[in-house]
Amino acid sequence: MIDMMFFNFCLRLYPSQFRNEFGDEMCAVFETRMNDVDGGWNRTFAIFSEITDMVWSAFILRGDVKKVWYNALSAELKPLVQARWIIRIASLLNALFFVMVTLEPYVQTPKPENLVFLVFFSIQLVCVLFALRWERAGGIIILTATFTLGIILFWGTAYPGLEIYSFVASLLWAIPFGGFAIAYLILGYRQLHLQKQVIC
Amino acid sequence: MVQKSIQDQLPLTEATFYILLSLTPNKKHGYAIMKDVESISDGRITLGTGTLYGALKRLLDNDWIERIEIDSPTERERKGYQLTELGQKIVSAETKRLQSLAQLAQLRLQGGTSS
Repeated sequence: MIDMMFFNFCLRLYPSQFRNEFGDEMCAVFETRMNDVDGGWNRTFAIFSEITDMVWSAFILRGDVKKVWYNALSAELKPLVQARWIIRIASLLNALFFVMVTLEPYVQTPKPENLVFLVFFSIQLVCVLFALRWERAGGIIILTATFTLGIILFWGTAYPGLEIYSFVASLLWAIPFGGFAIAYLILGYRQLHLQKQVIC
Repeated sequence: MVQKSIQDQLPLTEATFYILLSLTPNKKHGYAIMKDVESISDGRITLGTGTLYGALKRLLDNDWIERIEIDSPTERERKGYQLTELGQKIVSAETKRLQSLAQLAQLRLQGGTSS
């Protein structure tokens, strides 16, 4: 029962089209294999090897799907995909820089009145990682958190000078995502979306 | 032209070759392929479910195998796979390649020469 739960969870790592096509069969094969294996360590080993195999092959398969999708993209849209990756990396580096610069003073001299600031700052940090996968949702949450943080900092903070510093910092953080949103709209969101639907 | 494209597909990975061999000559469903590969490789190759279906998808995309309906008591095991004509040609070509490689190796080991 638990092993099937694990297996179903791992199935979610595969592209949806693959899951729809082979998901049922894969579950049946896994179930039969588990019934064939004796209990105890053999079963534990079989589950472990199946799960690692699933994760690894999903990783390989996703790479293949991306390669096919990328090869099928028109020449005009390839720079957009490249821009997307540049922005992702830029946002990570940006986040790393501001974690070091902005968070360090709080950790060195913590003050309870700045707890709200820390919470919103953490939301931004988590969302940068979230936005690597789900750009639209991640970007919206980052912008919302940034806006809220800006308002909080506008009303004052316990650290002199930090309000301007952090406000600029948090805005800069959102710039890569804002930039990508504009590029996305200009370079043809619709065309990219339609191609993705056809190919994937 | 076709011959050339077949040669371009070689050599096959060991797992792919065993899967194709497993479907020669009989059609099989997923779990039967898994067990057969384990059996014909003397237990050396144990395919995981993910690896098996990843490979099957590639073989389907390449048109080397095709899906068919199999008589089975359970609904989930009714989907099977069999080699296409192209798949059979690929297996034959890979077998010939391995044979000539083995012959060459044998000649060298026996101290002979080969052109």
